[in-house]
Amino acid sequence: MRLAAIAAAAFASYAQTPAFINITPTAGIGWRHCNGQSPQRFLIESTTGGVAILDFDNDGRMDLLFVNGGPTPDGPCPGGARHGLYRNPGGGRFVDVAQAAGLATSSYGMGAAAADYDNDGDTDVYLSGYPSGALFRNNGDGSFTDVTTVSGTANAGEWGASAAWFDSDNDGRLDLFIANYAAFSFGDSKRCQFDGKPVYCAQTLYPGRPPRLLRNRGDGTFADVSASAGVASLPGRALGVVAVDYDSDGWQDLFVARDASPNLLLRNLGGGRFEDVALEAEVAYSPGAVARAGMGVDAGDVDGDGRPDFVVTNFDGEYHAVYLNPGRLPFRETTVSSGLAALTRPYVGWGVRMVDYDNDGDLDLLIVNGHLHEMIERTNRTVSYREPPLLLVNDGQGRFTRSRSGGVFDTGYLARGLAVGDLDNDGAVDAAFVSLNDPPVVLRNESSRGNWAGVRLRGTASNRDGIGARLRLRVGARTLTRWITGGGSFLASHDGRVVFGLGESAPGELEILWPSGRLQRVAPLAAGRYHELFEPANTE
Amino acid sequence: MSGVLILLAATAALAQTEPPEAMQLARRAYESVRAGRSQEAIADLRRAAGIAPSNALYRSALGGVLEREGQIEPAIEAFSEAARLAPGNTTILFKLGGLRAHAGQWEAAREPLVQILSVEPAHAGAEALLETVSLELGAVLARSKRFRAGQLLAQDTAKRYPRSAPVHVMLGLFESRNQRNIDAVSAYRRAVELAPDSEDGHTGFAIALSAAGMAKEARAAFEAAAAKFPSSGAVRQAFGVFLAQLHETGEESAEAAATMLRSALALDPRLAEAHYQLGVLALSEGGAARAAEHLNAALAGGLDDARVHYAAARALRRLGKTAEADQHLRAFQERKQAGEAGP
Repeated sequence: MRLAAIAAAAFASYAQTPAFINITPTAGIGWRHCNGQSPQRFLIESTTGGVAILDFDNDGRMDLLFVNGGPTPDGPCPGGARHGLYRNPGGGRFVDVAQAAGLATSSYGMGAAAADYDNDGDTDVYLSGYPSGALFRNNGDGSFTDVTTVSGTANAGEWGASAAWFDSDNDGRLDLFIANYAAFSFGDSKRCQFDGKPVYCAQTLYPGRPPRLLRNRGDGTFADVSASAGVASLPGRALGVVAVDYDSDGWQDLFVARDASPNLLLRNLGGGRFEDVALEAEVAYSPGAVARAGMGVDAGDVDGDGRPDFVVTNFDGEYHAVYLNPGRLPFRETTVSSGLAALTRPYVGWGVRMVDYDNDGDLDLLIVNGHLHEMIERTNRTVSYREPPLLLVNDGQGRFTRSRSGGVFDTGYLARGLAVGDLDNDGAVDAAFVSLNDPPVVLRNESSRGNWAGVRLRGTASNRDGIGARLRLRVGARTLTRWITGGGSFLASHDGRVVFGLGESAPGELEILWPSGRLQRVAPLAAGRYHELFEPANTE
Repeated sequence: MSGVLILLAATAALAQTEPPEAMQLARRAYESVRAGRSQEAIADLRRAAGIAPSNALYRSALGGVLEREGQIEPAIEAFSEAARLAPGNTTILFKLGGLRAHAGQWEAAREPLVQILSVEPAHAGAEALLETVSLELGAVLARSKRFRAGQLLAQDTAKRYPRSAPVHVMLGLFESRNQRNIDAVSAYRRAVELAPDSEDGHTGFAIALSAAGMAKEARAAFEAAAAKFPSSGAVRQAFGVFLAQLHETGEESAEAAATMLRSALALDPRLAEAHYQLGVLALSEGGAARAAEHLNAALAGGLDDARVHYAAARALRRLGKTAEADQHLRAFQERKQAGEAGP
C-alpha cells in the first residue's frame, strides 16, 4: 500500500510536469504582434502572424523570426509593426537584430518561408503578405538584401498566406509555392456585425485565388510557372501548404489546406506538371462532403508504416483532420478513430506540426488554436474566443490523447503561426508561435526523456537544405521514417534538422533518399548529438 | 350585395366633391356590375380614375371588380395605387394585403398589414393575416437560404406575436441558421412553453441545444421528445443524427446511433436523412455494400444533395463499381457548383 501510494504520488508529480515552458518573458524578446485591428474588421487582420525558426547566421543555433501584420487604414499599430528577428547566442536569451538585418517590408505581413534557395550555404527568407511578398537573400554577414523585384517573387496583388520552398522539378534548386488566399483590398466594403458590434465577415464572401508556383532558374530569378504547372486553374482560399513525396515516386507533391474551399493534393507528375488528386484521395472534403476551413497542414508518419500521412487544422465543430496514407488512393481519414474529433471539436486550429516531443519515436501533434469571432462565446457554450494550444500524444498507432501540461496549454491565445525547432540543441524540440496582438510565445521543451540523434543534411546535387529527403533510421525492431518537408504548419518555417527520438534504444543504420534520387546509407550514429551529413557523389 | 357592389355604391354615393363626369361613370359602373357587365364597369372605373386621379375610391373599386374577374395582378396594382392615395384607409390596406397574400407575394403583403396595425393595433383581421403571411415568408426565406433576412423577419414577428408558438419555432430556426445558437435555444424553449404538444418545437429545441454545445441538455430534450411523440419517425431521425455526432467525438457508440435511426425508419421508411446517416455510419465501419443500399434509399427518398452523392461515390468505389462511383462524383460536383459551395 505504502509503495503504491508513493508510486501514485510520483506519477501525479510527473504528470504535472509541464512539457513546455513559455520562456518569452525571460528570453529578452520584446517584440509584439499587431494586426491593425480596425473598426471595419478587414478579414486579413484575422489571419496574420507568421514565425520561423532558422539559423540565419550559421552559428549552429536556431534563431527566431516573427512576422508582423501591420496597420490597416483605420487600425494603427501604435508601437510600430516591424518584423522581429532574434539571434540566439545561447543561454536561453535572444538578441533583437531586426534593424541591422534589414528584414523590413511595406506590405501587410503574413508568413515566412526560410531556406537556402541559392545554395550558397546560408538561409534566405521569403515573407508572404498583401499586396505582395518579399524575398530576402542572406548576405552571410547577418544582414539580408531585398531581392524581390530582381527575383520576380513579388506575387503582386495577392494576399499570400503560407509559402513553401521545395524542388518541384528535381533540378537541385528550390522553387517557391505560395498559397494565395482570396481577392481582397483595403477598399473592401464588406461589413458584418453581431449584436451591433463589428465582426469579421465569413470567408465565403471573398472569392478564392489560385496559388502561385515560381520556378527557380538558378540565376537569382524565378519564372512564374503556375499556368504550365496546372495550378493557376485551381482557385480557392489557400492558407497552408506542405511539400512531401506522398506516393514515393521521387517527385515532391503538395498538400494545400484551403478555407471553405476543397483542399488540394497536388500530385507532381514530373515535367513541371501537377494534378489535383484530392477528390480521389478523399482529402478535399469531409466525409459529409463539406469543404472545411483548412488552415494549417503538416505531413509525417503518424502510424509508423513508413508513409507520410497528413494532419489539417480546421474550424470549431469541424475537427482537425488526420489522413492516413495506405500507399494508394484514397487516403483513410481517421479523424474520429484517432481521437482527434473529440480532442479538437471546440477549436479553430491554425499552426500544426508533427513532432516527437518526448523522443519516444512517435510523432505527436503540437497544434495552436484561436477563434476569430470575438463573440463566439455568446453562440456556443463549449467554444472560446481565446483557445489553448494542444499537445496530443501519439500512441504509435496514430491514436492521440491530450497531454495536459499546464501553463501554456491551459491558457487561451489567438494563436496563428507555429514553428518548431531545437533552440538549445538538447535534442528536445522546442516551438514558437504568434498570437494576435500579443507577445510571441517561445516554448522550451522540458519533457525529453528518450535518447535522440539529430541529423542536418547538406545537399550537393540536391538542394543544399535537403528539402524533400526521406530518412529511415533503424531503432531496435522499428524503422523511423522522417521527411524534410517544405512548408508545413501555418505561416511558418521550421528548423530543417531532423531529430530522431530513440526511447531507450540506440540508433541503427540510417538510410537517406536524397531528392536527387541518390541513396545513402550511414553507419549507426552516436546518440545525443547532431550530425551533419553531406550528399554523396553517387548512390552508396 | 357583394363586397364589390358595396364598395361601388359607396364610391358612387360619397364622391360628392369629385367632377360630375367621374361620378357618373362610377354610378354606371355600379349598374354594370349589378348587371354582370364587369368589363364595362372596369372601363368606366378606369376612366373615372383618370378624370379624378387623386380619388382612392375609384381605384379601390376598380381593384374590387378586377379581383372579381380573377385579374389578380391588375387588382393589386389598383389597390396599391389606392393605398398610395389614401395611406390611412385600413380597408384598402387590408384588401391589398389580402390580395398580395393570395398571390403568394408574402414580403409585399406584410407592408400594408404592418401599416394597418400601426394605425389600428386592434385590427383583428390584419393581426391574424400578418402572422400567417410572416410564417409563409419565413418558409420562403428558409428555402432560399436567405437566413439573415429570415432572422430579421422572425425577430420582428416574435415581438409582435409573443404568444405564437409557430413564430417562435421560426425564430429558433433562423437564429440557429445565423449561428446564434443560444438565442435559438431561447426561442425554441419559448415555443415549447407556448405549445407543449409542438413536435417541431421540441425537436428544434433539442437540435438547438446540441448546436449550442449543450450536449447533456440536448440528449435529455431528445429523450423527452422521443417519449412525447413515440410514433414520430422525424423525432427519432433527429435524435439519431445527434447520436451519430456524439459517436464522432466518442461520446456514444455507432450502434446506439444506428439503432435510433433504424427505429425512425421503422416508423417512417421514407425518412431519407435517416438512410443517409446510416449509409455514412456503415461506410465509416467498412460496410460499403450496406452503405450503398442506404444511400440509394436516401436518393430514392428525394434527398438528392451533394453529400449523398459524395458518400455514394465513396461507397461504390470501395465496391469496385468505378463507373457508377464516377457518375455520383459528377453529380456531387454539379450540385456543389450549383451553389452549395463557393470556390
